[in-house]
Amino acid sequence: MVQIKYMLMVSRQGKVRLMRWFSAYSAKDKTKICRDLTTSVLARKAKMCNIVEYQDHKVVYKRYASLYFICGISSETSNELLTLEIIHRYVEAMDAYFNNVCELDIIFNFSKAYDILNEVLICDGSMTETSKHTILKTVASMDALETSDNLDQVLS
Amino acid sequence: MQHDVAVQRASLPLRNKILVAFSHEVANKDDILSKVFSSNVSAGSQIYRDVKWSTKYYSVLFDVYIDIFDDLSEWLSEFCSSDYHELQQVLAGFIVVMPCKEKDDVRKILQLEQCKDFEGSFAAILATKVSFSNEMLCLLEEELVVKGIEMTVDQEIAGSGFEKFCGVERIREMIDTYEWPVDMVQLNHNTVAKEPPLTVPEIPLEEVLSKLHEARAKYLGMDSSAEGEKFAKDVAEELGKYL
Repeated sequence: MVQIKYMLMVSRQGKVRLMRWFSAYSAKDKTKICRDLTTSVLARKAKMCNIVEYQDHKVVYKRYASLYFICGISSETSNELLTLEIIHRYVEAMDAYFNNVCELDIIFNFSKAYDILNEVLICDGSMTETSKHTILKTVASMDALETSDNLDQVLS
Repeated sequence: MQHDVAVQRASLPLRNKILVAFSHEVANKDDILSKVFSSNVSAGSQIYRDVKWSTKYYSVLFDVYIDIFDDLSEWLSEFCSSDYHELQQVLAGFIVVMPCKEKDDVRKILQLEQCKDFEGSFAAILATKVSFSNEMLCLLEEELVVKGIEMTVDQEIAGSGFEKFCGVERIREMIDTYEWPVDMVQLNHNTVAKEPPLTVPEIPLEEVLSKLHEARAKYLGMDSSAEGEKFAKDVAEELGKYL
């Protein structure tokens, strides 16, 4: 089982491109977590372990091209390897949606990146959908709905 | 308070220049410049104005400054001095192109930390040649990246499955993802995620409605459902052009 506390997407240049908090944190804590993890994850060497201990929990991260996907998980209840698999599944879903996703796609379509994440992880941080096909299908129907909403708005 | 910040931001000069500094040892300067900027930028001239940079989401015009150094340390001391304060303030990015023979050669770039006005810009080393082990290269990369400087080697490396750019491609990606000032950016509206329109665009509503009425009357008079379906589809396509 995995219950993610937060997920961050950080660029190699230290810019936070996406963040989703599944546990309650104050704004101050959020800033501290972002700052600490950006610095410590970027400083880690390529061959180092992808799991680190941070404060009272564990942090699992994985680098894909110029982006680091960082997840905070509870030490007792969550499985680190499964977390890596969730990150991979999320990246795969984005890769399929954007057709070779790159950092620029995420910058200009960040709401889509959040939508896809919402399909992968439910609001308490546990996995809600494992099938890439289903995730893409749902996001495609959301896109269709959005287009028809815009059309309705114009017609009304 | 917010107003003060806005005024302060507005008073800052636009970061709309990229400086490329070549080591005198780099032979294929023109080749590298044309690969990065895909235009007529060459080492023959030091300043290129309004170089057009296009991505699938936006296009932007910026200036490219080119310089050549013999000794990086000396060059950086001069660059970081107060004489170049104005230049530092308008740089969006700084790219050093050099062969990396010794790790200490590379570390010289850490002098950039002395430049107070360099925050908000990106800095990168494009290594045309590396004379030390991969392990040392990784160590150096990590050492630099925490200081906000990225080192990339101009050679093909195996990808991780998802695109992993290196060399010139990575430099291009860094320029792509730089936060260009909003005033400079021209968005490509075909690819940027569309927000719902704030104002209703002008549509010939009367014409659309009269066509709908006509179509409805014609549709009701049709006997065959297949014929009716085809007609409805044609009408939908025709009306779609107005929207």
